[in-house]
Amino acid sequence: MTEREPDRAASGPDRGQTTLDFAVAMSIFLVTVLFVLAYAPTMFDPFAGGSGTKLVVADRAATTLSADVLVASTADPGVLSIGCVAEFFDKSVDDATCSTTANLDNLDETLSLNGRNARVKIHELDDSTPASPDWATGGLQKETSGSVPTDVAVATRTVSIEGDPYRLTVRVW
Amino acid sequence: MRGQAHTVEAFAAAVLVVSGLVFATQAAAVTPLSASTSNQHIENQQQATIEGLLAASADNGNLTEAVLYWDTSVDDGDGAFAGTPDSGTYATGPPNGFGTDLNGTLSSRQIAFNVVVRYPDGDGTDTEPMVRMGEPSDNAVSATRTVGLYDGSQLSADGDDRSLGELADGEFYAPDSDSGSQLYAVVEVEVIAWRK
Repeated sequence: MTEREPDRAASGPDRGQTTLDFAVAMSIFLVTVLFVLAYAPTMFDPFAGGSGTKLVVADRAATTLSADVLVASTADPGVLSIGCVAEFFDKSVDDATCSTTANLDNLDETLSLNGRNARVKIHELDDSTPASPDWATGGLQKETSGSVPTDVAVATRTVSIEGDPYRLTVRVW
Repeated sequence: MRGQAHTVEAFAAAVLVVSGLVFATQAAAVTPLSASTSNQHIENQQQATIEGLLAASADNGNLTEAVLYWDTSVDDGDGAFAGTPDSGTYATGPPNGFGTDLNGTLSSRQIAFNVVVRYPDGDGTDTEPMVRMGEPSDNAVSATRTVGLYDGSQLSADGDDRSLGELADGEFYAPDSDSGSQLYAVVEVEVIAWRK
């Protein structure tokens, strides 16, 4: 009995040391693994958002509007005709007409949405609410009726109406 | 010594795991660690935005005003864009309509930009920087627009309304490319934009 006392005394501190060592080791390892697991998905963030065809449709729709359907002359993309803008957003402006042959009432057909939803908005350069210039009553915004936006693809253009620059955004979902 | 064996082993394992991640990050083309977090769609949108901005500025005359916003008296008579610091270039949008639109369109969206004016000089072309915010990133986009200047075009800076035809040689940055005609020069404005 008395001979085993030193052994027990020696093994006590040894066992304690082992547990502490193991705890430190395990926490270092787990923290590293958790960091990697949390970090890895963010590597793919730049590629996420507005996946697939919606990006192309939004970009195409913005180009159609800013360079073809609403312009005063197709030789001058980005410079919009006030008549066409007014007609597109259901406003009326005196002495302004629109010569386009596109069907401005039907968003789906004009922008080839093929059943997708879209919201077209014209706003001031540094503001995100729809612009309401002097000649229009209410904001310049138009959207397909129906669902709430979920995963949205956005395309933007800078356009000029009556000499003032505006931002045109098309959201597709 | 045996007391720290697990800790040492854990460090070794952690280094292995992290170096695996670093290797994967280096191998991928675009990651959060790249010079600019960008993708093709965003680059397309930026390019379309600055093309539209140049079109809108050309339409309402702001672009011509910005190109002619020249102060002939500063920089020991060499002249510089009016209101620039000693470097001769603006650090943000110029103090005119074009600058206001640049700031509203790009700066407010955390997009940095450089603007240079390219003009014919002798047999080739030379450039006059207008705005310099720094070195563009790998994902920068650019758009250009040409502006015609005439002998009758007036300088737009405050206190100087002489026309280009009245200026002495060397007072304006671009020389008269054809002194026999009313056309002074055709200059090209280039905007280079990238995400900050």
